[in-house]
Amino acid sequence: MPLLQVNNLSVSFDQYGRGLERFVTTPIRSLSIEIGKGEILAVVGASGSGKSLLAHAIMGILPANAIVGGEIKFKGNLIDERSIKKYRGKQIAFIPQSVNYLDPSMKVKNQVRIGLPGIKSERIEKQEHLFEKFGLKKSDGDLYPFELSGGMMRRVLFTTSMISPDTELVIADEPTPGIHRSALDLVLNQLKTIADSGIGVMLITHDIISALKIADRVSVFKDGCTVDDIPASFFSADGESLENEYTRMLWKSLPEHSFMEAI
Amino acid sequence: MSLKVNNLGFCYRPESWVFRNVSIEVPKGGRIGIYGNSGCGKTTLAKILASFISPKEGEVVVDGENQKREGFQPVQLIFQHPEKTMNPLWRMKDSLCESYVPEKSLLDAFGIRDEWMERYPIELSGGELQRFSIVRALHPETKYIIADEMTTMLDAITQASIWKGLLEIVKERNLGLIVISHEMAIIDKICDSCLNLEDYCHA
Ligand SMILES: Nc1ncnc2c1ncn2[C@@H]1O[C@H](COP(=O)(O)OP(=O)(O)OP(=O)(O)O)[C@@H](O)[C@H]1O
Ligand SMILES: Nc1ncnc2c1ncn2[C@@H]1O[C@H](COP(=O)(O)OP(=O)(O)OP(=O)(O)O)[C@@H](O)[C@H]1O
Ligand SMILES: [Mg+2]
Ligand SMILES: [Mg+2]
Repeated sequence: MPLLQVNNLSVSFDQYGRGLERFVTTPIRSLSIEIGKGEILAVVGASGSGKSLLAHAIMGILPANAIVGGEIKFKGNLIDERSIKKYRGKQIAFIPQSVNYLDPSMKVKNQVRIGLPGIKSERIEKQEHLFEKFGLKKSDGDLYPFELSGGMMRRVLFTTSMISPDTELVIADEPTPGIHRSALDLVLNQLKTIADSGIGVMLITHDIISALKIADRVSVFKDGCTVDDIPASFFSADGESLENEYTRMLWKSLPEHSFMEAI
Repeated sequence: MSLKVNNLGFCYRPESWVFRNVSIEVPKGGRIGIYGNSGCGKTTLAKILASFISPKEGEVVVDGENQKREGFQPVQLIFQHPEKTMNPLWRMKDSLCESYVPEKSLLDAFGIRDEWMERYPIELSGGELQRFSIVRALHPETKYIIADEMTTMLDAITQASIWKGLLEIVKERNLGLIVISHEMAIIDKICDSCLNLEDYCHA
């Protein structure tokens, strides 16, 4: 049985325009994915295709005006906004995309410590260890979010949602944008280590080349639909094994490949 | 005509220099790439150039004149995290038209859809928001653009098409461009020259 199964998920929003006329938009029409134990699924695709909304739907943190269709199963059990509560932050860990999830009024070391298990001294030790692991200085812990650089913020976000002993699934929404090679490798290695211990990982990213280093499979989203689901090994030099036209275009327009010439 | 910095130095805390002695010149129509490890001061440098913060040492000279603090800034910065630059309580339309009203063709060039205008920032994806900040920066009086990890939030196709769109406008208006990116492939394909800011770091 797969760890996580999303079948035909749709998400609509009930919205009000100027003058209070109501209308419904449906950014997610039909998304289906599957992640097994110890498997890394990279989710790539168009910006605005619904990658973050998928993560939010799984975590049960969509806004109140969202209407959800289809099914989400965790270890075979249907989950919804209510039942997710018992998994959230425990069996299922989430690393959000937006840096706005950091509390602007709290030193970052304290934000990281809150989420860690154990008594105070253990949490302090663990937090310092995590910082060291991701190339952050001990003194960086005393900074407030606005005092961090973009890449430092990403790494702090990554440590705030670090896994607990019960974690079975990690959902990482764009954990790596804007960080340099060596820091990027630290994050990738960490995700790989997590997966090797049997945890399922959903890695949402635009950095396909990095994702391919650790992913088993790749799911491609466009306009709120899953348009492709293929083994990572299909992405080769010129993309000739990529049958889906959108996937091939995505691969070709990478800056390392044809970039603007592909457009 | 150029954007020039002479012996620039900055520290957030006394004597704890982020960088020192940075001198760069971006000619009108020129394109320079800046890279370096996370935390080496790229965004800080960008904020000084765009006049958000003042340097502790050195000066910024824009087209022969010392940088002014008031009025419209001819050096416009496009940030790494668009969600932090938008007022969460304003509809996108109001954020977009705060300093000028962009033409329809400009909105089309960046794929901004009508239906996004009435929404609040939280109701858009990261990539959609970034397009708004790009258009905001392209005020008719803008002379230099600093793109700080501008497309790190975008998929490869959108990234390539946005760069294509921006470069067309940059050429057409003969703007100077500074590209801050950790992706060397982008800098290689866009810029005439590049520098590693770590060479000026004092950490
Ligand atoms: N609260 C909301 N109300 C209405 N539409 C929304 C809301 N939140 C998101 N959307 C729309 O849903 C679509 C999917 O958004 P989502 O944030 O999931 O994209 P994404 O794939 O994560 O993109 P990116 O790669 O840019 O982060 C977008 O078109 C966005 O405008
Ligand atoms: N407002 C602030 N107050 C205090 N320190 C700050 C502030 N902003 C940035 N810093 C510090 O200045 C240094 C440079 O930060 P900056 O954001 O310029 O780096 P960067 O090169 O843009 O990094 P990245 O690639 O991660 O975006 C970092 O050590 C950061 O912690
Ligand atoms: Mg997203
Ligand atoms: Mg930065």
